[in-house]
Amino acid sequence: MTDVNINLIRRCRAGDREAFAQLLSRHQGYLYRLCYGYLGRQEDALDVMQEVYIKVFRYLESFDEEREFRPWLKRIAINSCLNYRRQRNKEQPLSLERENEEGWSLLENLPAGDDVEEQVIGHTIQEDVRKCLELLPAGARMVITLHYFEDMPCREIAVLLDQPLGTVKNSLFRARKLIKDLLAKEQLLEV
Amino acid sequence: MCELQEDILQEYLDGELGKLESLVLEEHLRTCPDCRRELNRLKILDWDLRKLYKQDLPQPGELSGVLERALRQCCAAEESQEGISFRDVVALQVSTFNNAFQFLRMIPGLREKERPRSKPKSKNTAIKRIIGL
Repeated sequence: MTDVNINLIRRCRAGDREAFAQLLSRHQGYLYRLCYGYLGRQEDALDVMQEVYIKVFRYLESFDEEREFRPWLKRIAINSCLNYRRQRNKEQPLSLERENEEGWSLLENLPAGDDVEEQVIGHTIQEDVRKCLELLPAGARMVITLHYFEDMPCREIAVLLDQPLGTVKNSLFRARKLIKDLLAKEQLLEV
Repeated sequence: MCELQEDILQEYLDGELGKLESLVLEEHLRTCPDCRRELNRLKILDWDLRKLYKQDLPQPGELSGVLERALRQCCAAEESQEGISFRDVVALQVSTFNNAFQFLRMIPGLREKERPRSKPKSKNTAIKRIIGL
């Protein structure tokens, strides 16, 4: 770890609030993108960020200075995101008919392949992909987020989430298959 | 689609298929239009997901506010664990004394001593007070 980070952490442990603010403001952009990437909503991302800061404050005493700070921060953020989402949504199997918090299901809300007007007015494919992501279970969504946001291979994701490699691969493959099949059905993946 | 499992296409896309398996798959892709189509769809989806997660997000102005709120919450939690501060003790004592001597007002004939008026700071102020401004 860099000398600057070690110095800041030691000052934090001595009760220096300014050092705490400096330490975390270095990572707040990254943290926001990670939380937003997983949760998909700004207010949710900010709520989880506040929770992460409080946990860092509480557990900084136990942080090992030999390690890098960001991976430790990332682990706290990932667990906080997972808990946040699980508290809000019950775990449900991957399904195109499953409804989200606002009461619509994915099948109902995508434009038909031949509905040009709807496609031009309302939708970009990225919005459709984002809607698909919202309906994924918490674990599958985290695997997708880590794979595409952090460019992490399945092996590293399995270590970070403390899951078997097979489980991680299965989550990633099933999530991608679900989104692909749906978009292909609406002819949104044709070249 | 042919009988090839789609998971193999996904592993191939992620670069996690072994060399021999990759060669066999590539040979298969030369002649199977279904698998070629599925692989293209996976590639397009992969591209969409990467764009989604790599796009620059506008940072909300509230980011620093989140940190401040968290710090306040942590400090409040710490103070409640440490106990009452010295300032709180003094305020408590003043309040206690004030309450203790309230009964004196109820004793007949005992009036509060009038505080002497402070001298006017300037002649103008004194004149204004006389003429009622």
